[in-house]
Amino acid sequence: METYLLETKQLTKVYRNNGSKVHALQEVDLAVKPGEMVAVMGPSGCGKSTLLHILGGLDNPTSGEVHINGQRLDKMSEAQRAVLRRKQVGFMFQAFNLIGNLSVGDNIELPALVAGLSVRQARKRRDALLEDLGISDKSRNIPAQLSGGERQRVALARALVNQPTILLADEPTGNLDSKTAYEVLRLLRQTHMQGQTILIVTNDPNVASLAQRVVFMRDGRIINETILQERDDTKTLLVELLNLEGG
Amino acid sequence: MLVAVWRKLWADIKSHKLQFVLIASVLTLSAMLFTISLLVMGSAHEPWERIFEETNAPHIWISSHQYDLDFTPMIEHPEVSETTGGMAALANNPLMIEGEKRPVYLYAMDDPPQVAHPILAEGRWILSGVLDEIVLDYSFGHFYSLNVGDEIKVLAADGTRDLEVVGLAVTAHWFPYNEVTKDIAPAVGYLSQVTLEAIQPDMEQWYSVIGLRLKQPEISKEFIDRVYEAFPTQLTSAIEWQWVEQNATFANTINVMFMGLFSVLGLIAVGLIIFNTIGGQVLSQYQEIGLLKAAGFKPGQVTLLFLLEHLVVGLLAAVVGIGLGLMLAPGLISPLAENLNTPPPDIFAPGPLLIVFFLVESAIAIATLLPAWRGGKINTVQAITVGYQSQDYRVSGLAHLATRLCLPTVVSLGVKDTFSKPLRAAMSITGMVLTIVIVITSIEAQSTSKELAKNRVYDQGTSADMKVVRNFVPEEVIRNEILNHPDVTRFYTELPLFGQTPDYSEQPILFRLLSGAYQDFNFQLKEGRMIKAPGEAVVGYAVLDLLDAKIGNQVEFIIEGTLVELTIVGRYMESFNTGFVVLSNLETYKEKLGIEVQPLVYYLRLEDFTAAESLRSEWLTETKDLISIKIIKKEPPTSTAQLVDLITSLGLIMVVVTGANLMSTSLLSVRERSRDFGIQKALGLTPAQIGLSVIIGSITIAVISLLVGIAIGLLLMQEFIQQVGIQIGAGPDFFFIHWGYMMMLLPLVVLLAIASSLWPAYWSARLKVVDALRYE
Ligand SMILES: Nc1ncnc2c1ncn2[C@@H]1O[C@H](COP(=O)(O)OP(=O)(O)OP(=O)(O)O)[C@@H](O)[C@H]1O
Ligand SMILES: [Mg+2]
Repeated sequence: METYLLETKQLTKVYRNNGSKVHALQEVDLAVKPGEMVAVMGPSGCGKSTLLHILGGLDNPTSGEVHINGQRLDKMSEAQRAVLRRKQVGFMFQAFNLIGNLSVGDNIELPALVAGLSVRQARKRRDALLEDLGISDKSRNIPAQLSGGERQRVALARALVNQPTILLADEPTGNLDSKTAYEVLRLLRQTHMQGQTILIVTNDPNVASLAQRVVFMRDGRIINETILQERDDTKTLLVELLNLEGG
Repeated sequence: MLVAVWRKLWADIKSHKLQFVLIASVLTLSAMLFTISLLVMGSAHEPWERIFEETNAPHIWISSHQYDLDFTPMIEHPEVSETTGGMAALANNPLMIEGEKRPVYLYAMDDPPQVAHPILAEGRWILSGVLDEIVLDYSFGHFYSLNVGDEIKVLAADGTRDLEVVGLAVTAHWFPYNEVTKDIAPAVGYLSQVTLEAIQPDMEQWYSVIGLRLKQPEISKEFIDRVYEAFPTQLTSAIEWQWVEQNATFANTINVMFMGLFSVLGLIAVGLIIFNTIGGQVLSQYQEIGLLKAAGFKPGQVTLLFLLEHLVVGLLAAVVGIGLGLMLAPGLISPLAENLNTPPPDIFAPGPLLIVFFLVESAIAIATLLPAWRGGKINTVQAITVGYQSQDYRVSGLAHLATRLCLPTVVSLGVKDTFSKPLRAAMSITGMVLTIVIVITSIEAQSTSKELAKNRVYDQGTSADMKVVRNFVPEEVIRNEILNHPDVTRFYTELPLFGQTPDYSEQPILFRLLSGAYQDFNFQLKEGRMIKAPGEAVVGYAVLDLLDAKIGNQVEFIIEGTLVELTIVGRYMESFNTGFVVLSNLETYKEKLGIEVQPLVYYLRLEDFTAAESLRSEWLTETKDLISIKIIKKEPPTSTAQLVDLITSLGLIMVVVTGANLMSTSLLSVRERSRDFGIQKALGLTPAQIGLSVIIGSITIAVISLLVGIAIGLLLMQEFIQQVGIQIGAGPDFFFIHWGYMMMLLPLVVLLAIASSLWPAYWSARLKVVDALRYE
């Protein structure tokens, strides 16, 4: 039997809004292997973000199971899920969601400190990540003083600071123009190459082409799955482009 | 527009119920505090002067033990403008109250005269020619809970008579009767001439009294001298209005000063809190402002909409608050009014109520207009998309400090979040600082009046157990029966005399000339040492102040016409005669005079204090009730409790208002930060940690406010109480810091901070991450 890092069984989410029901997720079975990069695509409102939130323990499913690294997420209390998130899950959002009143450096350090690292360890990791992502000089700025691409790089650094089991990214390039988007994607790919397991939600086929596997959703269900080959046309094109950009 | 206002108001109420309830209650309580403060201020403002004017009080009271003295030369004197006409009076005639004899001046006043006409506060005036009715001084009546309709017994020549209290009246005739003055001066009552005759048929026992108003009140001193020349033997006393005023206002100086300070602080604090609450509310609606503009509202209209919305709320709150204030005010103010001997103020006077409306509405208007004006200027798109909050985020110095101190993450997050809006934090702190200053004011008011009460009568500054006044009983009787009694272990004696200094002849100074073992009675001195040898004096602060003298100086006094030179060796505190008091040795005076003078008062220490009651009755029987004996109780003295009660209750209301304000501010800021909380949760903070960070933010505000408040409060009080002390002649050393109370403030303030942030903390802890992040 193959071991999965992340696995859902018959995952279902129903929102109730004054009497009417929305089936945001319906019996979703999804499994992610260690080191894998999976893209989730589908039309707006099909339940992609809902899935991502439940996988990261931000929300509770109506029914079904979520296993992360062998632990049953759906059986946990909110506080237990929070504690699990600290080490296991890193998040990136379309809207960056940096904390506005903290400096870039503090934004990155915060999850490390929350996870119980010492101030010195947190600082070391922060500096390494800032270096890796090319934003060392922005450490003292506040998010409002950064460009969109820079903010998303800070968000990536923050997501990676605890070396999470899995990185969950919800349209991380949705708010960026194509040039900045490529830059962020290059960094995402770089972390993936270093062994990071990533699940990325996107509407952009170019972004999805970075992944080894693309999952298609509609009306809360997984309707299709494609394994991308290394020689896939779009994939090759994009990868080359990214390599070029990285110089 | 009105429809728009109504819709918006309704929508705001529905969407933020708690916020609305908080704002409404802050406004309501504020209006209530405004009302009470204004009423108190009105009633405490120079009460004696006001009553003096209103009763058309005389500048000089002249009394004679000759009941039929012809006052015509005075009435027709060119310096005199008006008089009361001659009145018959009985001096120190006791009323029986609660089994005790309370001396009262009784005046025959069938018709209140034009001059010195008392103001009826309750009941009616006595009916002319009707027997056994009495109108009592308002302060005296209230002090012993006597009401219109009560029967009281008066000591009469042939036993007692029952009088019916038909009215209570305010007068500037004499001192208000209260805790401070009751041991010093009798009260006054008014009855008909026939009642006076019934009480004391022997007219030889009567006094005749007249009150004179002068064309030039300043010359009262010279005028009295001339009157004495004209009536060399017939006059008993001539009392100037300044002296009455001094003694009347003595106890009230403190009340008036404290109330004045309190009202001013209260008004500022309440204004600030309204500003903070409403301003915060408007600032938090920047997004809404953008939306309204997008919907076609002009910037002016947006401002008007916000303004009208809050003014409507303010109007309703003011109505309720004034109603509550009017309900509470009489209970709070009446005791104070008794102490000041003013009738309780007319609480339904439209003036103060209109002022309250005006104050509340203008505080609201300013608090709305400033941020709304700023909001009207900001870019519509920006307002809609990002709201206001993301614009002025900055990392404050304090937040940096928190990071540098390596505080636990949750703590430093709480501190940072609180100070990411420096203006709001500053406003919250200022409001709370004022409240703490007010609480400290009330603590200090309490301790000051306690301290004053402790030093009020001088016998409580010594360790004597019993005070005996000889009256007309021969000295050797006292010596044999009392001083040589085996139960008396130690004693000293006193002869009280009035005198002046050669340079300030108009200021009467009380000399307590001591002899006996006074050294062993632990006189509580403020400075220097107790007198030892003849020629030394310990004086009250007012004497030092008057003479501009210091300890060690030699000064001259005139005691009953004799010039005496004394060296000041110490200072003590006594409230009587507003601190114009001197302790000296009886020998000094005897030497000067060359004749034997007898003491009048004896202070005793007993073998066994529990025997005091039985000794008292024994000695009273032996002297046929001719001497006066007072057992000096060692229990802590009662203070001017009314003032303390009033200030304390207002302080408590202030604390509630502050709590509501703190909660409202906290709720507003957690709402604004809901997205941040969502992110923090996504990063792995547990609900408990989020809630804790909110509470810690609130505690930080409270603790900073406490420290600043204590510093400001103590400095202010030190200065203020020194001024009070100097004003009442007690000296500048009234001020004590009650570290115990200050320590108690810390847990109280922290508790208040926790209580007011509990709901916001719960709200943010329960916040759904997904919802918070969707907020856009
Ligand atoms: N809190 C909620 N209450 C009710 N319905 C909700 C809630 N959150 C999401 N939904 C609904 O659930 C469905 C799935 O939403 P979700 O955000 O997961 O879609 P999505 O695939 O991420 O869309 P997009 O590509 O536009 O981001 C939608 O129909 C949405 O309206
Ligand atoms: Mg989505």
